[in-house]
Amino acid sequence: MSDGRGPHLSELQALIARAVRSPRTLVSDPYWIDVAERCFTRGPDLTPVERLEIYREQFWLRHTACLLEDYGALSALLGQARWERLAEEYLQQTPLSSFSLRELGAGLPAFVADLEWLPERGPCADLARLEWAYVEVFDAADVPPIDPERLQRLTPEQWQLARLRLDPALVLLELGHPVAELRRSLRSGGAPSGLPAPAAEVVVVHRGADANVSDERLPKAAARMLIELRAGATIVEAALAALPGDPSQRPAFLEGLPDLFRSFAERGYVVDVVVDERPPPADQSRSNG
Amino acid sequence: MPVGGFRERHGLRDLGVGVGLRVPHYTDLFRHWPAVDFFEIISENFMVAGGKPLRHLDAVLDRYPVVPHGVSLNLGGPDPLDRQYLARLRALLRRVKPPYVTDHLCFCGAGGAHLHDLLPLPYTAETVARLSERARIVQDTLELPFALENPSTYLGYTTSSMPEWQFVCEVIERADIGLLLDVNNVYVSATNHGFDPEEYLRRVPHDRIVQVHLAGHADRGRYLLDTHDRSVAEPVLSLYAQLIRRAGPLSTLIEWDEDIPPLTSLLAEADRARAVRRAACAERKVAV
Repeated sequence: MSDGRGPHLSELQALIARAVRSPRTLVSDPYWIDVAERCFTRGPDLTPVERLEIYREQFWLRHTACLLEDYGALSALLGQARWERLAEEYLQQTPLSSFSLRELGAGLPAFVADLEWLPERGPCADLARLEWAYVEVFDAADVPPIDPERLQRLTPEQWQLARLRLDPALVLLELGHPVAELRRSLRSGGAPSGLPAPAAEVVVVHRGADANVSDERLPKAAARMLIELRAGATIVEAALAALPGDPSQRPAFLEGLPDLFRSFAERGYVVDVVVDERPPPADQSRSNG
Repeated sequence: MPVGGFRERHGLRDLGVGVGLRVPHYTDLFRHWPAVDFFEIISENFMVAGGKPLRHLDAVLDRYPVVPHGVSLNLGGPDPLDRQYLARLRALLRRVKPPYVTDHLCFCGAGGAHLHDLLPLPYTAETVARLSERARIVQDTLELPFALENPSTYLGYTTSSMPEWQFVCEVIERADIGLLLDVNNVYVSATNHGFDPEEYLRRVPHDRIVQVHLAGHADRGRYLLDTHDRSVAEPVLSLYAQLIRRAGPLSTLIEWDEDIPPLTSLLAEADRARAVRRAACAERKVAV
Protein backbone atom coordinates (compact mmCIF):
# COMPACT_ATOMS: atom_id res chain seq x y z
CA MET A 1 0.00 0.00 0.00
CA SER A 2 2.97 2.33 -0.12
CA ASP A 3 3.94 2.68 -3.77
CA GLY A 4 2.01 5.93 -4.16
CA ARG A 5 -0.55 4.41 -6.57
CA GLY A 6 -2.74 3.09 -3.81
CA PRO A 7 -3.21 -0.49 -2.75
CA HIS A 8 -3.30 -3.34 -5.23
CA LEU A 9 -6.70 -4.95 -5.80
CA SER A 10 -5.86 -8.09 -3.84
CA GLU A 11 -4.59 -5.99 -0.92
CA LEU A 12 -7.82 -4.03 -0.87
CA GLN A 13 -9.83 -7.22 -0.91
CA ALA A 14 -7.83 -8.75 1.94
CA LEU A 15 -8.34 -5.53 3.87
CA ILE A 16 -12.10 -5.59 3.38
CA ALA A 17 -12.25 -9.26 4.33
CA ARG A 18 -10.46 -8.47 7.58
CA ALA A 19 -12.70 -5.47 8.27
CA VAL A 20 -16.01 -7.26 7.80
CA ARG A 21 -14.96 -10.17 10.02
CA SER A 22 -14.19 -7.82 12.86
CA PRO A 23 -16.64 -8.49 15.70
CA ARG A 24 -16.46 -4.87 16.90
CA THR A 25 -17.70 -1.76 15.14
CA LEU A 26 -15.17 -0.06 12.89
CA VAL A 27 -16.53 3.46 13.15
CA SER A 28 -14.78 4.30 16.43
CA ASP A 29 -11.53 2.50 15.67
CA PRO A 30 -8.77 4.97 14.62
CA TYR A 31 -7.02 2.29 12.57
CA TRP A 32 -10.06 1.56 10.41
CA ILE A 33 -11.02 5.21 10.19
CA ASP A 34 -7.57 5.95 8.75
CA VAL A 35 -7.57 2.97 6.39
CA ALA A 36 -11.07 3.80 5.13
CA GLU A 37 -10.18 7.45 4.52
CA ARG A 38 -7.29 6.36 2.31
CA CYS A 39 -9.02 3.54 0.41
CA PHE A 40 -12.68 4.48 0.15
CA THR A 41 -14.66 7.51 -0.92
CA ARG A 42 -17.05 9.53 1.15
CA GLY A 43 -20.74 9.10 0.26
CA PRO A 44 -23.38 11.79 0.14
CA ASP A 45 -24.18 11.20 3.83
CA LEU A 46 -21.66 8.67 5.12
CA THR A 47 -17.96 8.73 5.94
CA PRO A 48 -15.76 6.07 4.34
CA VAL A 49 -15.59 4.03 7.56
CA GLU A 50 -19.35 4.22 8.00
CA ARG A 51 -19.75 2.81 4.52
CA LEU A 52 -17.37 -0.06 5.31
CA GLU A 53 -19.28 -0.67 8.54
CA ILE A 54 -22.45 -1.49 6.56
CA TYR A 55 -20.72 -4.56 5.14
CA ARG A 56 -19.37 -5.58 8.56
CA GLU A 57 -22.85 -5.41 10.09
CA GLN A 58 -24.34 -7.45 7.27
CA PHE A 59 -21.62 -10.11 7.62
CA TRP A 60 -22.41 -10.69 11.29
CA LEU A 61 -26.19 -10.56 10.83
CA ARG A 62 -26.09 -13.09 8.02
CA HIS A 63 -23.64 -15.50 9.61
CA THR A 64 -25.15 -15.53 13.09
CA ALA A 65 -28.61 -16.06 11.57
CA CYS A 66 -27.27 -19.01 9.59
CA LEU A 67 -25.71 -20.61 12.68
CA LEU A 68 -28.89 -20.03 14.64
CA GLU A 69 -30.93 -21.82 12.01
CA ASP A 70 -28.72 -24.92 12.20
CA TYR A 71 -28.27 -24.89 15.98
CA GLY A 72 -31.68 -23.80 17.26
CA ALA A 73 -31.66 -26.25 20.19
CA LEU A 74 -28.11 -25.48 21.29
CA SER A 75 -28.75 -21.74 21.21
CA ALA A 76 -31.92 -22.18 23.29
CA LEU A 77 -30.04 -24.34 25.78
CA LEU A 78 -27.20 -21.84 26.16
CA GLY A 79 -29.35 -18.72 26.37
CA GLN A 80 -28.76 -15.56 24.37
CA ALA A 81 -25.61 -14.22 26.04
CA ARG A 82 -23.63 -17.47 25.97
CA TRP A 83 -24.88 -18.35 22.48
CA GLU A 84 -23.76 -14.98 21.15
CA ARG A 85 -20.35 -15.42 22.76
CA LEU A 86 -20.02 -18.89 21.24
CA ALA A 87 -21.13 -17.70 17.79
CA GLU A 88 -18.75 -14.75 17.84
CA GLU A 89 -15.75 -16.82 18.91
CA TYR A 90 -16.57 -19.56 16.41
CA LEU A 91 -17.02 -17.18 13.48
CA GLN A 92 -13.81 -15.34 14.33
CA GLN A 93 -11.72 -18.47 14.71
CA THR A 94 -13.26 -20.58 11.95
CA PRO A 95 -13.34 -18.69 8.65
CA LEU A 96 -15.51 -20.44 6.10
CA SER A 97 -13.72 -21.37 2.91
CA SER A 98 -16.64 -23.11 1.22
CA PHE A 99 -18.85 -21.40 -1.35
CA SER A 100 -21.76 -22.99 0.47
CA LEU A 101 -23.07 -21.23 3.55
CA ARG A 102 -24.55 -24.60 4.47
CA GLU A 103 -21.04 -25.61 5.61
CA LEU A 104 -20.78 -22.73 8.07
CA GLY A 105 -21.64 -24.78 11.13
CA ALA A 106 -19.68 -27.91 10.22
CA GLY A 107 -16.94 -27.25 12.76
CA LEU A 108 -19.17 -26.13 15.61
CA PRO A 109 -19.55 -29.48 17.44
CA ALA A 110 -15.77 -29.90 17.73
CA PHE A 111 -15.42 -26.23 18.66
CA VAL A 112 -17.97 -26.62 21.48
CA ALA A 113 -16.26 -29.77 22.74
CA ASP A 114 -13.06 -27.74 23.31
CA LEU A 115 -14.71 -24.69 24.83
CA GLU A 116 -13.05 -24.20 28.19
CA TRP A 117 -15.44 -21.52 29.44
CA LEU A 118 -18.43 -23.82 28.98
CA PRO A 119 -18.62 -26.24 31.95
CA GLU A 120 -21.38 -28.32 30.30
CA ARG A 121 -19.48 -28.64 27.02
CA GLY A 122 -19.94 -32.45 26.96
CA PRO A 123 -23.73 -32.53 26.57
CA CYS A 124 -23.63 -29.31 24.52
CA ALA A 125 -21.18 -30.88 22.05
CA ASP A 126 -23.41 -33.95 21.81
CA LEU A 127 -26.42 -31.75 21.12
CA ALA A 128 -24.43 -29.86 18.47
CA ARG A 129 -23.38 -33.15 16.83
CA LEU A 130 -27.00 -34.25 16.68
CA GLU A 131 -28.14 -30.94 15.19
CA TRP A 132 -25.35 -31.00 12.62
CA ALA A 133 -26.24 -34.59 11.66
CA TYR A 134 -29.68 -33.30 10.67
CA VAL A 135 -28.04 -30.74 8.38
CA GLU A 136 -25.78 -33.35 6.80
CA VAL A 137 -28.53 -35.87 6.20
CA PHE A 138 -31.05 -33.31 4.89
CA ASP A 139 -29.40 -32.98 1.47
CA ALA A 140 -27.14 -36.03 1.34
CA ALA A 141 -27.11 -38.08 -1.87
CA ASP A 142 -30.26 -39.88 -2.95
CA VAL A 143 -29.59 -43.61 -3.22
CA PRO A 144 -32.54 -46.01 -3.42
CA PRO A 145 -32.72 -48.55 -0.58
CA ILE A 146 -31.87 -52.17 -1.27
CA ASP A 147 -34.68 -54.56 -2.06
CA PRO A 148 -34.88 -56.75 1.10
CA GLU A 149 -35.30 -59.73 -1.22
CA ARG A 150 -31.68 -59.35 -2.27
CA LEU A 151 -30.56 -60.12 1.26
CA GLN A 152 -32.87 -63.12 1.44
CA ARG A 153 -31.42 -64.49 -1.79
CA LEU A 154 -27.86 -64.57 -0.43
CA THR A 155 -26.48 -68.09 -0.03
CA PRO A 156 -24.92 -69.07 3.32
CA GLU A 157 -21.52 -68.83 1.62
CA GLN A 158 -22.27 -65.32 0.38
CA TRP A 159 -23.40 -64.23 3.84
CA GLN A 160 -19.88 -65.03 5.05
CA LEU A 161 -18.38 -62.56 2.61
CA ALA A 162 -21.08 -59.92 2.23
CA ARG A 163 -20.64 -56.30 3.20
CA LEU A 164 -23.54 -53.87 3.37
CA ARG A 165 -23.37 -50.32 2.04
CA LEU A 166 -25.25 -47.94 4.26
CA ASP A 167 -27.39 -45.07 3.00
CA PRO A 168 -25.37 -41.82 2.51
CA ALA A 169 -28.35 -40.09 4.14
CA LEU A 170 -27.65 -41.87 7.43
CA VAL A 171 -25.42 -40.69 10.25
CA LEU A 172 -24.58 -42.81 13.29
CA LEU A 173 -23.75 -40.87 16.41
CA GLU A 174 -22.10 -42.40 19.46
CA LEU A 175 -23.16 -39.92 22.11
CA GLY A 176 -22.21 -39.58 25.75
CA HIS A 177 -25.51 -37.96 26.69
CA PRO A 178 -29.10 -38.72 25.66
CA VAL A 179 -29.82 -35.43 23.89
CA ALA A 180 -32.39 -36.45 21.26
CA GLU A 181 -35.40 -35.65 23.46
CA LEU A 182 -33.75 -32.46 24.60
CA ARG A 183 -33.29 -31.41 20.97
CA ARG A 184 -36.90 -32.12 20.13
CA SER A 185 -38.16 -30.20 23.14
CA LEU A 186 -35.94 -27.18 22.59
CA ARG A 187 -36.62 -27.07 18.86
CA SER A 188 -40.36 -27.03 19.49
CA GLY A 189 -40.02 -24.06 21.81
CA GLY A 190 -39.72 -25.89 25.14
CA ALA A 191 -37.83 -24.16 27.92
CA PRO A 192 -34.43 -25.60 28.86
CA SER A 193 -35.06 -27.97 31.77
CA GLY A 194 -31.65 -29.15 32.86
CA LEU A 195 -29.06 -31.26 31.19
CA PRO A 196 -29.32 -35.01 30.70
CA ALA A 197 -27.07 -37.12 32.91
CA PRO A 198 -24.22 -38.86 31.10
CA ALA A 199 -25.33 -42.11 29.45
CA ALA A 200 -23.76 -43.60 26.36
CA GLU A 201 -26.13 -44.20 23.46
CA VAL A 202 -26.05 -44.61 19.73
CA VAL A 203 -28.49 -42.57 17.70
CA VAL A 204 -29.16 -42.99 14.01
CA VAL A 205 -30.16 -39.88 12.08
CA HIS A 206 -31.71 -40.86 8.78
CA ARG A 207 -33.68 -39.42 5.91
CA GLY A 208 -36.67 -41.59 5.08
CA ALA A 209 -38.46 -42.29 1.82
CA ASP A 210 -40.58 -39.16 2.36
CA ALA A 211 -37.34 -37.10 2.51
CA ASN A 212 -38.02 -36.17 6.14
CA VAL A 213 -35.15 -36.53 8.60
CA SER A 214 -35.64 -38.21 11.97
CA ASP A 215 -33.53 -39.70 14.71
CA GLU A 216 -33.85 -42.93 16.63
CA ARG A 217 -32.01 -44.39 19.59
CA LEU A 218 -30.70 -47.81 18.58
CA PRO A 219 -30.75 -50.95 20.74
CA LYS A 220 -27.25 -52.01 21.72
CA ALA A 221 -26.88 -54.93 19.29
CA ALA A 222 -28.28 -53.03 16.32
CA ALA A 223 -26.02 -50.09 17.15
CA ARG A 224 -22.89 -52.24 17.31
CA MET A 225 -23.79 -53.98 14.04
CA LEU A 226 -24.34 -50.72 12.16
CA ILE A 227 -21.14 -49.19 13.54
CA GLU A 228 -19.17 -52.22 12.35
CA LEU A 229 -20.90 -52.28 8.96
CA ARG A 230 -20.21 -48.59 8.48
CA ALA A 231 -16.55 -49.30 9.21
CA GLY A 232 -16.49 -51.86 6.38
CA ALA A 233 -16.92 -55.10 8.29
CA THR A 234 -18.58 -58.09 6.64
CA ILE A 235 -22.01 -59.07 7.93
CA VAL A 236 -20.43 -61.94 9.85
CA GLU A 237 -17.74 -59.75 11.36
CA ALA A 238 -20.39 -57.23 12.40
CA ALA A 239 -22.53 -59.95 13.94
CA LEU A 240 -19.57 -61.35 15.87
CA ALA A 241 -18.73 -57.90 17.19
CA ALA A 242 -22.30 -57.49 18.41
CA LEU A 243 -22.53 -60.93 19.98
CA PRO A 244 -23.73 -60.56 23.60
CA GLY A 245 -21.09 -61.17 26.26
CA ASP A 246 -23.54 -63.34 28.19
CA PRO A 247 -23.54 -66.76 26.45
CA SER A 248 -27.13 -67.41 27.51
CA GLN A 249 -28.31 -64.47 25.36
CA ARG A 250 -26.49 -65.57 22.23
CA PRO A 251 -29.05 -68.07 20.81
CA ALA A 252 -31.80 -65.43 20.88
CA PHE A 253 -29.45 -62.88 19.33
CA LEU A 254 -28.47 -65.21 16.50
CA GLU A 255 -32.07 -66.21 15.93
CA GLY A 256 -33.04 -62.55 15.63
CA LEU A 257 -30.32 -61.63 13.14
CA PRO A 258 -32.36 -62.19 9.95
CA ASP A 259 -35.12 -59.95 11.32
CA LEU A 260 -32.57 -57.32 12.27
CA PHE A 261 -31.10 -57.20 8.75
CA ARG A 262 -34.57 -57.17 7.25
CA SER A 263 -35.44 -54.23 9.49
CA PHE A 264 -32.28 -52.37 8.39
CA ALA A 265 -33.27 -52.94 4.77
CA GLU A 266 -36.91 -51.99 5.27
CA ARG A 267 -35.98 -48.77 7.05
CA GLY A 268 -33.79 -47.85 4.11
CA TYR A 269 -30.55 -47.99 6.10
CA VAL A 270 -28.97 -50.33 3.54
CA VAL A 271 -28.58 -49.43 -0.12
CA ASP A 272 -26.42 -52.23 -1.46
CA VAL A 273 -24.79 -55.56 -0.67
CA VAL A 274 -21.37 -56.38 -2.01
CA VAL A 275 -20.08 -59.95 -1.92
CA ASP A 276 -16.28 -60.08 -1.91
CA GLU A 277 -14.54 -62.35 -4.37
CA ARG A 278 -12.91 -65.28 -2.59
CA PRO A 279 -9.17 -64.65 -2.29
CA PRO A 280 -7.07 -67.02 -4.39
CA PRO A 281 -5.65 -70.04 -2.55
CA ALA A 282 -2.49 -69.17 -0.67
CA ASP A 283 -0.10 -71.32 -2.79
CA GLN A 284 -1.31 -69.67 -6.06
CA SER A 285 -1.06 -66.16 -4.71
CA ARG A 286 2.54 -66.82 -3.82
CA SER A 287 3.41 -68.48 -7.15
CA ASN A 288 5.00 -65.38 -8.65
CA GLY A 289 6.97 -64.51 -5.59
CA MET B 1 -16.51 -9.71 -33.98
CA PRO B 2 -19.88 -11.15 -32.91
CA VAL B 3 -22.80 -10.16 -35.12
CA GLY B 4 -26.22 -9.28 -33.63
CA GLY B 5 -27.26 -8.58 -30.07
CA PHE B 6 -26.37 -10.96 -27.26
CA ARG B 7 -29.96 -12.13 -26.74
CA GLU B 8 -30.48 -12.61 -30.45
CA ARG B 9 -27.25 -14.54 -30.95
CA HIS B 10 -28.11 -16.90 -28.11
CA GLY B 11 -31.81 -17.19 -28.94
CA LEU B 12 -32.88 -15.88 -25.55
CA ARG B 13 -36.60 -15.16 -25.54
CA ASP B 14 -38.64 -12.99 -23.23
CA LEU B 15 -39.66 -15.17 -20.26
CA GLY B 16 -42.26 -12.70 -18.95
CA VAL B 17 -42.41 -11.72 -15.27
CA GLY B 18 -41.28 -14.34 -12.77
CA VAL B 19 -40.61 -14.68 -9.07
CA GLY B 20 -37.94 -16.26 -6.89
CA LEU B 21 -38.58 -19.83 -5.77
CA ARG B 22 -38.57 -19.78 -1.97
CA VAL B 23 -39.25 -22.52 0.60
CA PRO B 24 -42.11 -20.74 2.45
CA HIS B 25 -44.17 -20.93 -0.76
CA TYR B 26 -43.77 -24.66 -1.37
CA THR B 27 -47.00 -25.72 0.33
CA ASP B 28 -49.13 -23.26 -1.66
CA LEU B 29 -47.20 -23.83 -4.85
CA PHE B 30 -47.43 -27.62 -4.81
CA ARG B 31 -51.12 -27.49 -3.87
CA HIS B 32 -52.35 -24.94 -6.41
CA TRP B 33 -49.71 -24.77 -9.16
CA PRO B 34 -50.53 -21.13 -9.95
CA ALA B 35 -49.68 -19.49 -13.25
CA VAL B 36 -46.12 -18.18 -13.00
CA ASP B 37 -44.12 -17.12 -16.05
CA PHE B 38 -40.85 -18.46 -14.64
CA PHE B 39 -38.99 -19.08 -11.41
CA GLU B 40 -35.49 -18.04 -10.48
CA ILE B 41 -33.60 -20.25 -8.04
CA ILE B 42 -30.54 -19.43 -5.97
CA SER B 43 -28.08 -21.85 -7.57
CA GLU B 44 -26.17 -22.68 -4.40
CA ASN B 45 -29.35 -23.84 -2.62
CA PHE B 46 -29.66 -26.63 -5.17
CA MET B 47 -25.99 -27.52 -5.70
CA VAL B 48 -26.47 -30.40 -3.27
CA ALA B 49 -26.35 -34.17 -3.56
CA GLY B 50 -30.02 -34.97 -2.90
CA GLY B 51 -32.94 -34.75 -0.50
CA LYS B 52 -35.83 -32.33 -0.47
CA PRO B 53 -34.17 -29.46 -2.34
CA LEU B 54 -33.74 -31.51 -5.51
CA ARG B 55 -37.06 -33.29 -5.07
CA HIS B 56 -38.86 -29.95 -4.90
CA LEU B 57 -36.83 -28.53 -7.77
CA ASP B 58 -37.75 -31.48 -9.99
CA ALA B 59 -41.44 -30.91 -9.23
CA VAL B 60 -41.11 -27.26 -10.25
CA LEU B 61 -39.11 -28.12 -13.37
CA ASP B 62 -41.97 -30.34 -14.53
CA ARG B 63 -44.24 -27.29 -14.81
CA TYR B 64 -42.28 -24.04 -15.06
CA PRO B 65 -39.21 -22.54 -16.74
CA VAL B 66 -36.44 -22.08 -14.18
CA VAL B 67 -33.30 -19.94 -14.33
CA PRO B 68 -30.44 -20.31 -11.82
CA HIS B 69 -28.93 -17.24 -10.18
CA GLY B 70 -25.69 -17.64 -8.22
CA VAL B 71 -24.49 -15.63 -5.24
CA SER B 72 -21.16 -17.29 -4.43
CA LEU B 73 -19.08 -17.57 -7.60
CA ASN B 74 -16.65 -14.93 -6.28
CA LEU B 75 -15.82 -13.87 -9.82
CA GLY B 76 -13.96 -10.76 -8.71
CA GLY B 77 -12.09 -12.41 -5.86
CA PRO B 78 -8.31 -12.73 -5.70
CA ASP B 79 -8.42 -16.52 -5.38
CA PRO B 80 -8.44 -18.80 -8.44
CA LEU B 81 -11.86 -19.71 -9.82
CA ASP B 82 -13.34 -22.52 -7.72
CA ARG B 83 -13.37 -25.51 -10.07
CA GLN B 84 -15.43 -27.58 -7.62
CA TYR B 85 -18.04 -24.84 -7.60
CA LEU B 86 -18.18 -24.77 -11.37
CA ALA B 87 -18.44 -28.57 -11.57
CA ARG B 88 -21.36 -28.59 -9.18
CA LEU B 89 -23.01 -25.71 -11.01
CA ARG B 90 -22.63 -27.61 -14.26
CA ALA B 91 -24.37 -30.59 -12.66
CA LEU B 92 -27.24 -28.32 -11.64
CA LEU B 93 -27.45 -26.84 -15.14
CA ARG B 94 -27.71 -30.32 -16.62
CA ARG B 95 -30.72 -30.87 -14.38
CA VAL B 96 -32.41 -27.49 -14.96
CA LYS B 97 -31.56 -26.96 -18.65
CA PRO B 98 -32.02 -23.17 -18.39
CA PRO B 99 -31.59 -20.71 -21.26
CA TYR B 100 -28.86 -18.84 -19.32
CA VAL B 101 -27.19 -18.65 -15.93
CA THR B 102 -26.29 -15.60 -13.86
CA ASP B 103 -24.15 -14.36 -10.97
CA HIS B 104 -22.80 -11.02 -9.71
CA LEU B 105 -20.20 -8.40 -10.61
CA CYS B 106 -18.53 -8.51 -7.24
CA PHE B 107 -16.13 -10.41 -5.03
CA CYS B 108 -17.27 -12.66 -2.18
CA GLY B 109 -14.10 -13.33 -0.24
CA ALA B 110 -10.33 -13.18 -0.10
CA GLY B 111 -7.44 -15.20 1.22
CA GLY B 112 -9.41 -18.43 1.15
CA ALA B 113 -12.22 -17.05 3.33
CA HIS B 114 -15.65 -16.89 1.70
CA LEU B 115 -17.62 -14.01 3.21
CA HIS B 116 -20.93 -14.76 1.49
CA ASP B 117 -21.59 -11.20 0.52
CA LEU B 118 -21.64 -9.30 -2.76
CA LEU B 119 -18.69 -7.01 -2.13
CA PRO B 120 -18.00 -4.10 -4.46
CA LEU B 121 -14.98 -3.81 -6.72
CA PRO B 122 -12.91 -0.78 -7.70
CA TYR B 123 -13.85 0.41 -11.17
CA THR B 124 -10.45 0.28 -12.83
CA ALA B 125 -8.91 -1.07 -16.01
CA GLU B 126 -7.18 -3.74 -13.92
CA THR B 127 -10.50 -4.99 -12.53
CA VAL B 128 -12.15 -4.88 -15.95
CA ALA B 129 -9.36 -7.02 -17.39
CA ARG B 130 -9.46 -9.54 -14.56
CA LEU B 131 -13.25 -9.86 -14.40
CA SER B 132 -13.81 -10.07 -18.13
CA GLU B 133 -11.20 -12.78 -18.50
CA ARG B 134 -12.71 -14.83 -15.68
CA ALA B 135 -16.28 -14.25 -16.88
CA ARG B 136 -15.31 -15.56 -20.30
CA ILE B 137 -13.79 -18.67 -18.72
CA VAL B 138 -16.96 -19.23 -16.72
CA GLN B 139 -19.18 -18.87 -19.78
CA ASP B 140 -16.99 -21.29 -21.75
CA THR B 141 -16.88 -23.77 -18.87
CA LEU B 142 -20.62 -23.72 -18.31
CA GLU B 143 -21.34 -23.88 -22.06
CA LEU B 144 -24.32 -21.60 -21.55
CA PRO B 145 -24.94 -17.86 -21.95
CA PHE B 146 -23.65 -16.26 -18.77
CA ALA B 147 -24.76 -12.91 -17.39
CA LEU B 148 -23.58 -10.76 -14.50
CA GLU B 149 -25.73 -8.63 -12.23
CA ASN B 150 -24.86 -5.18 -10.94
CA PRO B 151 -24.99 -5.46 -7.12
CA SER B 152 -26.21 -2.70 -4.85
CA THR B 153 -23.17 -1.04 -3.30
CA TYR B 154 -22.47 1.04 -0.23
CA LEU B 155 -18.77 1.62 -0.72
CA GLY B 156 -16.72 3.44 -3.36
CA TYR B 157 -12.96 3.18 -3.91
CA THR B 158 -10.55 6.05 -4.15
CA THR B 159 -8.81 4.10 -6.93
CA SER B 160 -11.89 3.89 -9.17
CA SER B 161 -11.32 5.59 -12.49
CA MET B 162 -14.68 5.23 -14.22
CA PRO B 163 -18.38 5.36 -13.32
CA GLU B 164 -20.18 2.13 -12.51
CA TRP B 165 -22.18 2.03 -15.74
CA GLN B 166 -18.96 2.21 -17.74
CA PHE B 167 -17.36 -0.52 -15.65
CA VAL B 168 -20.37 -2.77 -16.23
CA CYS B 169 -20.32 -2.07 -19.97
CA GLU B 170 -16.60 -2.71 -20.32
CA VAL B 171 -16.68 -6.02 -18.43
CA ILE B 172 -19.62 -7.52 -20.25
CA GLU B 173 -18.60 -6.26 -23.69
CA ARG B 174 -15.04 -7.49 -23.28
CA ALA B 175 -16.16 -10.86 -21.93
CA ASP B 176 -18.99 -11.05 -24.47
CA ILE B 177 -21.51 -12.03 -21.82
CA GLY B 178 -24.97 -10.85 -20.81
CA LEU B 179 -26.20 -8.36 -18.22
CA LEU B 180 -28.68 -9.08 -15.48
CA LEU B 181 -29.77 -5.52 -14.78
CA ASP B 182 -31.09 -5.02 -11.26
CA VAL B 183 -33.02 -1.77 -11.47
CA ASN B 184 -33.48 -1.61 -7.70
CA ASN B 185 -29.73 -1.96 -7.26
CA VAL B 186 -29.15 0.87 -9.72
CA TYR B 187 -31.50 3.06 -7.68
CA VAL B 188 -29.99 2.04 -4.32
CA SER B 189 -26.41 2.56 -5.53
CA ALA B 190 -27.30 5.83 -7.27
CA THR B 191 -28.69 7.16 -3.99
CA ASN B 192 -25.75 5.85 -1.95
CA HIS B 193 -23.13 7.26 -4.32
CA GLY B 194 -24.94 10.23 -5.78
CA PHE B 195 -24.96 9.25 -9.47
CA ASP B 196 -27.77 9.57 -11.99
CA PRO B 197 -29.73 6.29 -12.32
CA GLU B 198 -31.36 7.37 -15.57
CA GLU B 199 -27.99 7.91 -17.21
CA TYR B 200 -26.98 4.41 -16.01
CA LEU B 201 -30.03 2.84 -17.62
CA ARG B 202 -29.44 4.77 -20.85
CA ARG B 203 -25.78 3.79 -21.06
CA VAL B 204 -25.79 0.04 -20.44
CA PRO B 205 -26.08 -2.07 -23.63
CA HIS B 206 -29.74 -3.01 -23.89
CA ASP B 207 -29.14 -5.86 -26.31
CA ARG B 208 -27.11 -7.63 -23.63
CA ILE B 209 -29.79 -7.49 -20.91
CA VAL B 210 -30.97 -11.06 -20.44
CA GLN B 211 -33.07 -10.34 -17.38
CA VAL B 212 -34.15 -7.55 -15.04
CA HIS B 213 -34.41 -7.75 -11.26
CA LEU B 214 -36.85 -5.72 -9.21
CA ALA B 215 -36.95 -5.74 -5.41
CA GLY B 216 -37.74 -3.65 -2.37
CA HIS B 217 -35.20 -1.69 -0.35
CA ALA B 218 -35.13 -0.05 3.07
CA ASP B 219 -34.41 3.60 3.75
CA ARG B 220 -31.94 3.67 6.62
CA GLY B 221 -31.94 7.43 6.85
CA ARG B 222 -28.49 8.18 5.54
CA TYR B 223 -28.40 5.38 2.98
CA LEU B 224 -30.58 2.82 1.23
CA LEU B 225 -30.18 -0.89 1.98
CA ASP B 226 -31.10 -3.56 -0.57
CA THR B 227 -33.25 -5.67 1.75
CA HIS B 228 -35.60 -7.61 -0.57
CA ASP B 229 -38.18 -7.46 2.20
CA ARG B 230 -40.96 -5.33 0.76
CA SER B 231 -42.71 -4.14 -2.41
CA VAL B 232 -40.77 -2.50 -5.20
CA ALA B 233 -40.57 1.26 -4.57
CA GLU B 234 -42.38 3.57 -6.99
CA PRO B 235 -39.18 5.35 -8.15
CA VAL B 236 -37.73 1.94 -9.03
CA LEU B 237 -40.83 0.99 -11.01
CA SER B 238 -40.59 4.33 -12.77
CA LEU B 239 -36.99 3.58 -13.78
CA TYR B 240 -38.09 0.13 -14.88
CA ALA B 241 -40.73 1.69 -17.14
CA GLN B 242 -38.10 3.97 -18.66
CA LEU B 243 -35.88 0.97 -19.32
CA ILE B 244 -38.65 -1.03 -20.99
CA ARG B 245 -39.60 1.96 -23.14
CA ARG B 246 -36.03 2.02 -24.40
CA ALA B 247 -35.19 -1.68 -24.53
CA GLY B 248 -38.54 -3.38 -25.14
CA PRO B 249 -39.94 -6.31 -23.14
CA LEU B 250 -37.28 -7.93 -20.96
CA SER B 251 -37.54 -11.02 -18.76
CA THR B 252 -38.21 -9.57 -15.31
CA LEU B 253 -38.03 -11.08 -11.86
CA ILE B 254 -39.37 -9.98 -8.49
CA GLU B 255 -36.93 -10.77 -5.66
CA TRP B 256 -38.34 -11.09 -2.14
CA ASP B 257 -36.10 -12.85 0.38
CA GLU B 258 -36.90 -11.47 3.85
CA ASP B 259 -40.30 -11.14 5.55
CA ILE B 260 -41.54 -13.25 2.68
CA PRO B 261 -45.26 -12.67 2.02
CA PRO B 262 -47.77 -15.36 0.97
CA LEU B 263 -47.36 -16.59 -2.59
CA THR B 264 -50.53 -14.77 -3.69
CA SER B 265 -49.05 -11.45 -2.52
CA LEU B 266 -45.79 -12.14 -4.31
CA LEU B 267 -47.66 -12.97 -7.50
CA ALA B 268 -49.66 -9.75 -7.10
CA GLU B 269 -46.32 -7.91 -6.97
CA ALA B 270 -45.36 -9.67 -10.21
CA ASP B 271 -48.68 -8.52 -11.70
CA ARG B 272 -47.83 -4.96 -10.68
CA ALA B 273 -44.55 -5.17 -12.58
CA ARG B 274 -46.30 -6.86 -15.49
CA ALA B 275 -48.75 -3.94 -15.75
CA VAL B 276 -45.88 -1.43 -15.80
CA ARG B 277 -44.10 -3.51 -18.41
CA ARG B 278 -47.20 -3.76 -20.59
CA ALA B 279 -47.85 -0.02 -20.40
CA ALA B 280 -44.22 0.80 -21.18
CA CYS B 281 -44.24 -1.57 -24.16
CA ALA B 282 -47.43 0.07 -25.43
CA GLU B 283 -45.84 3.53 -25.12
CA ARG B 284 -42.76 2.25 -26.90
CA LYS B 285 -44.88 1.13 -29.87
CA VAL B 286 -46.58 4.50 -30.00
CA ALA B 287 -43.19 6.19 -29.84
CA VAL B 288 -41.85 4.00 -32.67
